[in-house]
Amino acid sequence: MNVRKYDRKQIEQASIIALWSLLNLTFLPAVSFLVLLTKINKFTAESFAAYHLNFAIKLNLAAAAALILVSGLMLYLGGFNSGMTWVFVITYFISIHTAFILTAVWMLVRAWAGNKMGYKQV
Amino acid sequence: MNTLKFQSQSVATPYFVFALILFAGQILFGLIMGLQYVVGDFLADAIPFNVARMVHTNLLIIWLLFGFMGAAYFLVPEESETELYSPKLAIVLFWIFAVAGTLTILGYLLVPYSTLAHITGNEYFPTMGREFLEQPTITKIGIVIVCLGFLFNIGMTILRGRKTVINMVLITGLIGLAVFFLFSFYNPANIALDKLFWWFVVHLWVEGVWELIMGAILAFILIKITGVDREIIEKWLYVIIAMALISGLLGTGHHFFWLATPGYWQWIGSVFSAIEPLPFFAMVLYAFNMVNNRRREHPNKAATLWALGTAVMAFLGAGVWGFLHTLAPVNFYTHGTQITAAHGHMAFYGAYAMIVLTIISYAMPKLRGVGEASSNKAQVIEMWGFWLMTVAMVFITLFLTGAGILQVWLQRIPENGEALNFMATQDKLSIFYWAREAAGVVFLIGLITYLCNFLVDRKAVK
Repeated sequence: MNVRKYDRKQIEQASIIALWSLLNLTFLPAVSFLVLLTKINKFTAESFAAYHLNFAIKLNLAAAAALILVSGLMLYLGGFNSGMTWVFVITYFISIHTAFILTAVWMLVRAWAGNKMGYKQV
Repeated sequence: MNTLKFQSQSVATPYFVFALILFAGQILFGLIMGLQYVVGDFLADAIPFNVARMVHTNLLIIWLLFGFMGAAYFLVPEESETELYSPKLAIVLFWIFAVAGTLTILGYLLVPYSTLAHITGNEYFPTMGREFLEQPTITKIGIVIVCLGFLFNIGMTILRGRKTVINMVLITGLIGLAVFFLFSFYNPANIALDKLFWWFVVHLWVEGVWELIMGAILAFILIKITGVDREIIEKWLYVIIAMALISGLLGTGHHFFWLATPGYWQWIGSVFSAIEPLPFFAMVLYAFNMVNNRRREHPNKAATLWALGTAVMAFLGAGVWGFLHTLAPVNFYTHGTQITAAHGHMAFYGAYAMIVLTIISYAMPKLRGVGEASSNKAQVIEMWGFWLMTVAMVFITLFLTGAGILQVWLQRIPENGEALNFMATQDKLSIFYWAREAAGVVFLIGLITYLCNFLVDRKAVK
């Protein structure tokens, strides 16, 4: 069903980037993001790897903001000593974290297949 | 239009139909019980809470077993490339299981549990009275007989046909299901020991051998709807079941934390439980990957949606929500709270209810003679049912999670006698229970919508 537009090397580079992105959201936070940052300027702007790198960095920055800043804000506003604060922080954190992980998994699968984000795109 | 490859596959039909009827019953009793959480007197005389709970959970187990059996009867002949060994035996076993199951549920509802224990002769071979395994001993013996006959039928079919990885994984899971159920007959007087072996049934079913059954059914569906090479899907299946067994078997340790077992179980249980989300994570990766690399556009879009939904919801419910409270230092505070209920709801729906609904979605159009897939209209209704039920289950889980966190905060964390007692805590959680009940009503609407899809193609069936 999918027609690959990119050569094997480009797909491999994009796949590695997507994998680091997923690792940053799961087993190896922060360190993986630093690895992603070291890859900036290593690819031409129009390349497949650059697209995935760009997406990965934006995704992980959004995740950091949504998970750390918003959770921190909830704690700041609600206070540590309120049960309801923890109700909101924990349920919010788990749900949003999982949503970002699923997005990163989807991007890894798309990179493996030589695709960009959109599902219908070939 | 008959699109069945083997006519004996049609024995799956009554299993699927009866499974769906029991599923509807399970949801009704769930709603009754959900309302009893906040309106304690609701139907209290006719259906006491403990009975409603027993019927809710037992119906779940029985309909999933019917679903697994139907799936096996549909899938194995096609995989083995031969007719089922004995379609007659499959039908006879269906009626035995259906009658025994119905009588057992009626027994729960019509007579006090102690009377049911007495009239079924529990005193001669006591196995009753334990959560999820409340069935009278005679019903348990019936389940074993049905399972043996079922395994014989499926096993003989595989033996005389093609042996595929999917068949082998499925039969391994089904044999495991039967073997681990035997622990339900062991009922030691020591309550800690009793609980320990009770988990051999409950945990090793849902976090062990049932994952093999789920993996096999998902692999079968993915091969059919994506057209991806069998070899690729089989390699993924090997990886997933290996991870499931490595993590799941010793992961049983997370149930031994507070059962008067040696302290090392807290380490074993925590470490292996932390690995338990991995097979579900791999399932998401695998399902997304196969659908993304599909080589054909299967007309049954609803089955594709169910397959992807199963992988995602199983990861959420069994993987993420399981990990949430599985480490010993966390579980010290959370065990037996509504967090467990949140995990239980989403895991059972995501992993097992949805995989059965996936195979039903794929198989039913063929079994009913509609063709490769239902009409567009029927599929749209089915997909509405999917989204309503799935989104409702997400909200049920979130509300129960909220209730659980607050319960831990009020009842478990405070020291020096400041902690609220159980019932006082429950009063504080009522807003979450009302919200859960509302989400439950949406789930019921979703289920009714889902069932309506079978009415659309009635003319095509005739």
